[in-house]
This record gives sequence, C-alpha cells and structure tokens, in this order.
Amino acid sequence: MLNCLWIVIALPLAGFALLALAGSRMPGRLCALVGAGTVGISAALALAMGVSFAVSPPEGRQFTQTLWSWMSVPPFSPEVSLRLDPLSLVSVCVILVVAFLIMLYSSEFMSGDEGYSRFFSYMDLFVAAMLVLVLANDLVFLYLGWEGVGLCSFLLIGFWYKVPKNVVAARKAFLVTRVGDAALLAGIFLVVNKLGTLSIPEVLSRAAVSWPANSGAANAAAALFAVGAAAKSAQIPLHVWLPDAMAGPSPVSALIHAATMVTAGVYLVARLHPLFTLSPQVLFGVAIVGAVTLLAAGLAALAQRDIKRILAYSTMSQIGYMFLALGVGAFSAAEFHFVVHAFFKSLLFLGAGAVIRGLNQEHDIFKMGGLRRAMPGTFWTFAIGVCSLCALPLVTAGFYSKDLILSSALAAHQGGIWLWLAGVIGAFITTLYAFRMLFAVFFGEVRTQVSKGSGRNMTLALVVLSLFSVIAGFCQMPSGLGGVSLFADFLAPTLPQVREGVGRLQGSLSLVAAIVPLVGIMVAWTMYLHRPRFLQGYARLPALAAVHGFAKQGFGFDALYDYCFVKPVVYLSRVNRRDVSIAYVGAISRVAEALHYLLSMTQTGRVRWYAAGVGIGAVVLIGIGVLL
Amino acid sequence: MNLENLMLLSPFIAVALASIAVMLAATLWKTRFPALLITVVGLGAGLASTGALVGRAPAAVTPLLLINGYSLYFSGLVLACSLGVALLSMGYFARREQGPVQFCLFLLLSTLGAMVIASSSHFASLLLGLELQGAGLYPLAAYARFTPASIEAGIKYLVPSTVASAFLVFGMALVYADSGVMDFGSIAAIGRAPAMSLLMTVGLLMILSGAAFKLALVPFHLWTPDVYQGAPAPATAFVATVSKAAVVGLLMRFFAPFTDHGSNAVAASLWALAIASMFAGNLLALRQENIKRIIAYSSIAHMGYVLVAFLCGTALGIVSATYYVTAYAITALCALAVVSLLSHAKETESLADIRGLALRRPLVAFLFAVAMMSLAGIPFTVGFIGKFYVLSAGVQSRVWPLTFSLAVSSAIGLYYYLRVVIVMYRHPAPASEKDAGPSAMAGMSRPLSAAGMIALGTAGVLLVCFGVYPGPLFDFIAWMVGS
Repeated sequence: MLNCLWIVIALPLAGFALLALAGSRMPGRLCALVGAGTVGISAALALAMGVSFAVSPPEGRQFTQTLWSWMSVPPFSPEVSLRLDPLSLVSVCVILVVAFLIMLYSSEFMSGDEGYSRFFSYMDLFVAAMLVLVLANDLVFLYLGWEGVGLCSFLLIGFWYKVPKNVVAARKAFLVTRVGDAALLAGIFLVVNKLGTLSIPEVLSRAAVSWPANSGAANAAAALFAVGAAAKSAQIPLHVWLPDAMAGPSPVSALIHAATMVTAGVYLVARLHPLFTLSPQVLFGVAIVGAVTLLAAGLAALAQRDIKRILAYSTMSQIGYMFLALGVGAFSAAEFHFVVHAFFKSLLFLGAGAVIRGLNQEHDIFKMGGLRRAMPGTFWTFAIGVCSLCALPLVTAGFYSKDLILSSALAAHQGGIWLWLAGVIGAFITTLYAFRMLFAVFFGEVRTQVSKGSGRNMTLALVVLSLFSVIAGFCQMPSGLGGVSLFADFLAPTLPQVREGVGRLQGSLSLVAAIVPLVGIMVAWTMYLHRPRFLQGYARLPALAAVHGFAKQGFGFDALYDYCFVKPVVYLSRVNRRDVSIAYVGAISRVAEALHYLLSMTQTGRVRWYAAGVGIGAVVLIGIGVLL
Repeated sequence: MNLENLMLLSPFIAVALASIAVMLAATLWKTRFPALLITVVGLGAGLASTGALVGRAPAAVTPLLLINGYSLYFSGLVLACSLGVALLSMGYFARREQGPVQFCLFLLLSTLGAMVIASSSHFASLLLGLELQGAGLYPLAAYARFTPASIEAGIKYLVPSTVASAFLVFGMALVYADSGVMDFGSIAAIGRAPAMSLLMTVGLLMILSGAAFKLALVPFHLWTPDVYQGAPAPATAFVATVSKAAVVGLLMRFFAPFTDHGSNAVAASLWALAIASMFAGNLLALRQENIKRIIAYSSIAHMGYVLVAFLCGTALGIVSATYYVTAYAITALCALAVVSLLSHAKETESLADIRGLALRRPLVAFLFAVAMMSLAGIPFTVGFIGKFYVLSAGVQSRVWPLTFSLAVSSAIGLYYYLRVVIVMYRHPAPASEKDAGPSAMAGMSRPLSAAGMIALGTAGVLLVCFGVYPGPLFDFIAWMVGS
C-alpha cells in the first residue's frame, strides 16, 4: 500500500501534463473532471495510506521511498526520495482533501471563464509541487517543490493577466518570496557544505552530533531557514505580498494563500525542528515574529473593507499563531492549528468567493449586507467558519487548536506569560474583525441584490469543509476536557510531545482564554450591529482616523519598502543611466559582440581560405609540438 | 574468418547488406517506399545486433577492428542517430524534386564508415572508415542539387576535408616511420612512455589536425556554418550527430594514452583546441540570424565541452564525455528535426521564419525550446546533466583553466539560445506583402510528416527523461565504457 506513495504525486502531475497539452481542445466538463479527478483519486489514495499507516505502522513509524538519484557526485547526490511519516502524512491528507474540495468548488465557480482549462492545469501543477515539498526527503527535492509552489502562486495570482494590477500583484508576490527563497537556498548550501549531505534525516542527525547547541553554524542555518519560512508564510516583515495576492480567483486564495502554500514555512520549521532546537535564540525569534504578526495583522484586518483582504490579514494572523507555537517548541500544536486552519480558512475564502460571485464582483463588505436570507447555505457555513476562526469554546475545532497553542506558550521557558498575553489579545481582535465581517455581510439591511446563487458543487464543498471545521478539533482536547490527545500521540515519534501547563494558575488562565472570544462577540455585536453610531462618533476623531488609516494600509510596510527599496533602486538606476556601472556591465556584451564581428570576418565563404585554415591550424599545432 | 568473427561483424554486415539492397531496390521499383523501408530495417537490425553483441565483447576481429563495450556503445549511438535521420528524410524529401532513395544509400554507407571509425584499432581501418564516411557525406551535403547552396556546401566540405585527410595520412606515415607500428595498442604503449621523438609528436599532431577537422574544432571549423546551412536539413542532422559521435569515439580511444600525463604536446594542443573552440563557437553564434548556422557554431562549442571532460584524464572524465556526446546527439537531432519538419518549399532557417511559431505549432515550438534549453544547459534537460558531469569531472581533476572557460563561454552561449526561444514565443510579425501569399499560409497549416514527428517526439522525450532520470543511462555508459 505505502509503495503507491509516488502515485499520489504522479497523478496530479499527469493531470497537469494532459491539460497543458490538450486542455484547450477539451470540453470544459472534461477539463474539470481531469483536474479535480486526479486530485480526488490522489486524496482517496492518501487517505487509504493513512488508514494503513495507522493500523499497521511501518517499522520506525516512517516509510522512505527512494525513487532515483538525480545526479551523483558524492557527497553531492540529490535524490528523488519521498518520506512518509506522521507529520507528512497528516499534511498530505489535509492538502489533498482540501484541494479536492476546492477544485470541486472551482468546477462551478470558474465556469464560463476563458482560461478554464488553464486554471485546472495550474491547480494540478500546484498540488503536485506542494506534495513534492511536503514529501521530500531531500533538501534539493524539497527546494524543487518550494519553487514549484512559488511559480504556481505567481501564475495563479496573475491568472486574469489582462488586468495590469493583477500582474503587478503576482510579480510582487514572486519578488518578495524570492528573498526568502534566497535565504533558504543559502541555508541549504550551508548545510551541504558543513554536513556533507542533502538527505533530511541525515542532516538532522549529523547536525545533532556535530553542531553544539547555540553554535554559530546551527544559529546561521536555523536563521536562514527561518527567513525562508517567514517569507513563504507571510510573516512580518516579509508579509507585504499576501494582501495583494488576493488578486487571484477566490479558490486560488483558498487553496494557496490560506490552506497550503502559505503554511509551507510552518511545515519547514516543523520538519527541521531538531535543527531549530539547537538554536534557542532563533526559535525565540520565531515566537516573537509570530506574536508580532498575529497582533499587527489582526489590527490591520480590523481596518479593511475588502472581504478578501480581511481574510488575507486573518491568514497572516493565524499563521502568526502557528509561528508562536513553533517558537515555544510546541511543534505538534502548530501542525494541529495548520490542519484546523486549512479547513476553516479555505471555507471562509470559498464562502467569500460565493458572495463575491453572487454580488457581481463586489468586494466591499459595507456594500453587502443582509445576505442571510438570500444565501442561507453560504451564511450558515460561513458562520461556522467564523466561529471556528474565533475559537468559540467547546464546539469548534479552532478552540482546541488555539487552546493548545496558548497553554503551551504559557509553559515556555522564556517570556511565556507575554506570549500568552499576545495570543489572548490576538484572539480578542480576531473575534472583533471576524464578527465585524459576518455582521456586515450577512446582517443588517440589504444593500446589493444577489444576482447569482451557488449551485450544487459549490455548496457541497462548503458543507463538507464546515463539517471538518467543527469535528477536526475533537481529536485533541485539553486535559481539563476529557484529555484526548490522538493527534499529538500520532505525531509523537516525529514531533516531540507538547508540554502543557498544569496547575491552578494555568487552569484559570485557560478559562480566561476561553471566555475572551465570547466577550469579543458581545463587543462586536454592540459596536457593529447594535449601536453602529457609537463607533461612527469615534471614527471622526482625527487621531483615531489616522490610526485607522495607518492600519488599513497595513501599517505602512508597503510605503516603507517603497521608500527604502523600490524608490532608491529606481532612483539609482535613473541616475546611473549613463554611469560607470552600466558602462562596464555593457562593456561585457559589447566586447562579446565586437569579438563576434571580428571572428565573423574569418567566415569569408571562400573555399581556398577554408582549406588554408586547415593548413594554418595544423602548422600552429605542430609549432606547439616543436616548441614544447 | 570464422563464424565467431562473422557474428561480431553482424552490425556492419547488416548495414552493408542494407546499402546493397537499397541499390537493387532503386533499380527495381520507382517508388521511394521500399528503399526507405530497407534503410530503416537495416539500421534497426544493425542496432539490434549491436545490442546482442554486448555480452561477447571484448574481442578483436582481425588486427583491424576491436569490438569492445566502448566501440559497441559508439556504434549503437551512431546507428540510433542514423535511424533518426532516416525517419526525418522520409518527410523531407517527399516534397522535393529528388526522392530519398539515393539519400538512403549515402546515409547507409556513411553510417557504415562511422561504425568502422568507432571500432577501428588500426590505421588502415581508420583511414578506410574515414574515407567511407566522407564518400557518403559529400553527396549528402550536396544532395539538393537543384539549389546552389547545397552544391556549395558539398564543395566546401569536400575541399577542406581533402586537405585535412592529407594531413591525417601524412601523420600516420610519420608515426609509422618513427615507430614501425600501425595498430593502436602499440602506439598507446609508446604514448605511455615518458619521452617521445619529435617525428612521432609531429605525426600525432597531424593526425589530431585531421580529427579536429571532422569535429570542427577551432581553427579547423571554418567550413562548418556554410555546410550546415547549405546542406538539406536531414544531412545537417547527420553531420551534427553521426560524424561527430564517431570521431569523438576515435579521439578518446586513440589519444587517451597521451593525455594521462598532461604535459606533452598532444595534451597541450588539445587544451588549446578546447579553449579556442568553446569561446569562438559561442562568440560566433551570438548575433547569428540563421538557425542552422547557430546550430553549427554551437556544435563547435559543444565539442569543446566534450574535450574538457576528456582532458580530465580520469574514468569519470571519459564517462562524462561520452554522456555529453550522447546528450548532444539527442539534442541536436531534436533541434534539427524541427528545422527539417518545418522546411517546406524552401528551408526554414532564419529566425524570422520561426517568429510566432508557438502560436501556430505549440508542440513543435515547445520541443524546439526544450532543445535550445538543453543546449544551453538548463535543469531537467539532458544537456544540463551532461554539463553537470563535465563540470564535476573538471572540478575533480582540478583543470581550472578548462573549467573556467567552460563556465564563461556557456554563459555567453545562453544569449543566443534564449534568443531563439524568445523569437518563437513572440507574436508573429505583421505579414509583409511578399510572404502573405496563399502558399505561405498553406505551409503553416500543412500536416507534418508522421515519420519525422516520431523522430522528433522520441528525441524530445529522451531529452527530458534523461534530464530528470539520468541514472540508468549514466550507469550504462560507465559499464560499457569501463568494460
């Protein structure tokens, strides 16, 4: 059974090849069938493998399938090798199930688009690349997946490439994540150079042996990988690309920019966690970055009007939670939140997509309203997603995953209480922006009429995802509530067990954390639904308006980067237009060109010159021989 | 000559019989089909019997020929490339005044010559092979005899080639005069000795000049662009693949003993040839507007890369060089198959002709782009793997000047390879008054020859397969060449 692992990747790749070659000549229905079908079969296969893995685990609870070695010049021999262990198994199953549901949704959502087959071919390629990234047992192979998902992200953000704004957004995403890619590549170079291997398990075991904790090499490698992870996962300060990435179609945002690719950074850190534990400073830095991101992104989400930008900032904020968990060493808590987040956030994006489509491409939540009656299915599923996002106690999956993160933050060695506090405040902000969105879109008076309802496929995807958003939490419950720990136990051989705080203080703090969302809902209800005037009064104060504007612009990071990087580069290139650096860079090509024309003069086209050339050559060679 | 020897000669016999059968068929039937069928079957039988001989090698057949893993590999490569060229010629000559019948004959004879070169272990057989190959090659280049360019190509190949042959034969004579031996084994023994007489050195360098001419190494390269351009596209493909592969095989067999200790005149000359070829080849191709000339110049550079691996003087170097030649043959065949398929009434050869090709024929354009990327050495193509192994062999042996030249010159080369790709993926130029006639439009939509597509498709698939999964081929070469 487990030997079928490669098929899981091969199927979407085959789907991509078929659609890329013949997609334009295939009817739309067939494109969707090939696109979603290959992913669906892969998903079924992955689930079957999951069952077989759980029932009869392979030796050492991990399975490695080495397909071939790409090139081999020892010690450099990158291998096409897959590794299935509980960590990658969980990720693969979640990725495939979510991807399948999203593609099912897209088959209806994208219908009538002129790039229908192109859409499915890109999506298939993305799924294949993401699976490579997750299953790779070799750093070069992992990097292939890492770049592959980056490429697909670029292609899909700019999917509607006839609008220049979308292309600019795609380019921005590509360039910003490139900073992280460069860091990751440098990290791989460092590891190969110092440890002499590319195989991930080998790297981890050799690092543990030859690098003492806190040594320079360990710190440098961990820091480089952390920068790569932060850029891919849109963490401050490399997050600026994600809000703009919403230019892509909603299913793309759901799959790539919510459920899977943006969490690749989290996965990378979890996969390489023994390396990170060698460097507590970097790990603490990861926690700080997570805490700062979750607060800042939450505040920024509160100031947005565009439904997809709200969700984008929300994604950053939730990944901030995951980074926080990684930073305090609760790797399986981060993975658990990844799973739960994948379900509810893709649900929210798909719901938002249905609303946007229904209202004829309207993105502003304050131009929507009262959709509760017009789109009941979307409303209920969206509401479940919002509740899960806010971690409504006991009944939602989000509660269990966030609770695990907060309680493990509390048990951290360094600054636990502050990280916990950041998490709790973040949860409060989350509730505010989430219910602000819910109230504005589905309650109040009707501002825009619905022009297009959702059909069967879209509703089915929403319902299944909302189901998962509720039940996924029950496999991991805190000790106070039954103490189920199926998820952490399953991951235990790969990721260390989470240290949970026990004691009276922790207990009462957990209670506080559980109550915060409820308070948040009350506040949101008062502010946005019950007494909107109250807020509008304050909004007129210039100081608050300035803060609001600042948050709406994402705390001025775009302006800052524009000022620090884009402007200087543009300015310098303008100044330098006729300057030395251009002159001598250009000189290379000019010298090459001059040499080309010089050499071309020998091509006279005259036979006697050609024959003479042979003679001259022979004489030169003999001259060398005689002189030596 | 016993039965065992006949068995060992079976690939040669298959090709020779096929050439006689083609002659008979040409007199018996007026149609082109029997000749083509015989050619394909003959080459296929030759390939099959080469494969069957792998277990029997090594064995000497008379003092003239040595059948070992090495010669079998190169014979197989030559036969496979020839088969590709035969498939290309089917579609190509279907639309021209001359049929492909005599083309098949010359193709078979020249292939036979190439196989003899690759297997020769004696001056006599080497000369025989070279002349047999040449005798086929000149008419192949001049085959489209109603176009002046083709005739010109034939002449431009014939005359300098004769000069080069003169040097080669004279070199052999000098070596014989000095040492009194003509078989490669004895000459290799002299090569391993620490000192060498001047007469011997001069003789070897003259032989090297002859071989360098066949490989179009600078400064023996002047004929290359004109011949590549003027010859019909399948003949160009033949010159680029079959004749190159055979002579590389010979070069590595004959000169390997002289490069082990890298301080003698032969090694120094090879270094100079390699560096000059890499730079001159890439520089000459830079602003070239003609695709066939681009491929000609790039072949000069690529033979320089092969020499880099060869000059490492290690086992990895020889295997890498063989891998590189294979990679180059696949890629060149793929690229020239595109040129051959697209050529209609006149050759498709200028960059302007393929502008916007991606819109008209996406698959062909894609394969051509992949071939260009393979020549440039972009990952996931066989060219990348080849270059990687060449570079790693160079780094391992610390031949820094060669490695450095390879890196710099292939960076220069990127420019013209990518230029071809960009041209194909640009919008077609607005039709000028002359080209917009109905014939040009008909040429765009006409179906491509099925046999040619098979050759192109096979080359394209191999090109990507060996780029992603190179292990088996590399191991196979290491096993064949090492044994």
